[in-house]
Amino acid sequence: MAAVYTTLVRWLGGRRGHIRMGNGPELDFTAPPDAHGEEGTLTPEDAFVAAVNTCVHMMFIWSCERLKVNLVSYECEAFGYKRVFLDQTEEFERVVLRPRIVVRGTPEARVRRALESARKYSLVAASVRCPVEIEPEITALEE
Amino acid sequence: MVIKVLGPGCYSCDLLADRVRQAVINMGMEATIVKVRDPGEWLRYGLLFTPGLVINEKLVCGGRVPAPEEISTWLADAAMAEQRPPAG
Repeated sequence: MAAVYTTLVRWLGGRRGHIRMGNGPELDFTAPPDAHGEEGTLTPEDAFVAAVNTCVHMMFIWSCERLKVNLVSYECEAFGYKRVFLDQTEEFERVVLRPRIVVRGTPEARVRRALESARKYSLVAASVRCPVEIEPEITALEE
Repeated sequence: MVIKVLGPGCYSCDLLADRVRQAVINMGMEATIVKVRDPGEWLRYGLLFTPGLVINEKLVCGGRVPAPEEISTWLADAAMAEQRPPAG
């Protein structure tokens, strides 16, 4: 049977809501400030980009274990680029991940292979309609 | 990981085995590489033309010597499939 992931959203009034994640965390959310939301609160746009970023991250950790990549550090900034159409509908046209990766005693080619696998096996990245691009900065330290 | 090179022991088979061995080394994997010369075994994997490459009991290529890059991709896929987490 296929796995199912759930969230519960409740309106708090105005442009604010509360979400309970299936795995436990709860937090408020709003629209982006440029769409009449509030500063400092989760937005659906942030959550979308975060979903891609965190999912690829988790799969990268997994692929590092599988491909014997000795990971020292990983930090990834993600950018979701929005396109607005003439009828004012919108979509993400692409998501770009820019991970800064430090490894020790591992060839850069193997790190890139691990990133490819992470991208390929990421449930979220594989599910979104727009392209997900990865532009890594890799530092390979000597053993 | 168990990798089988299917073929009679010709030049192409040896070339494939060498490429597989190099890819395994490059990727830092632990793998057992076996040469299978029994035609009865080839048929069991559905191989029609040699050489053939089987990774973890799955025929991934037959009838040609794949490029090193292809072999690396199959090895990475096989590694990811071993004890793959359900999501993420």
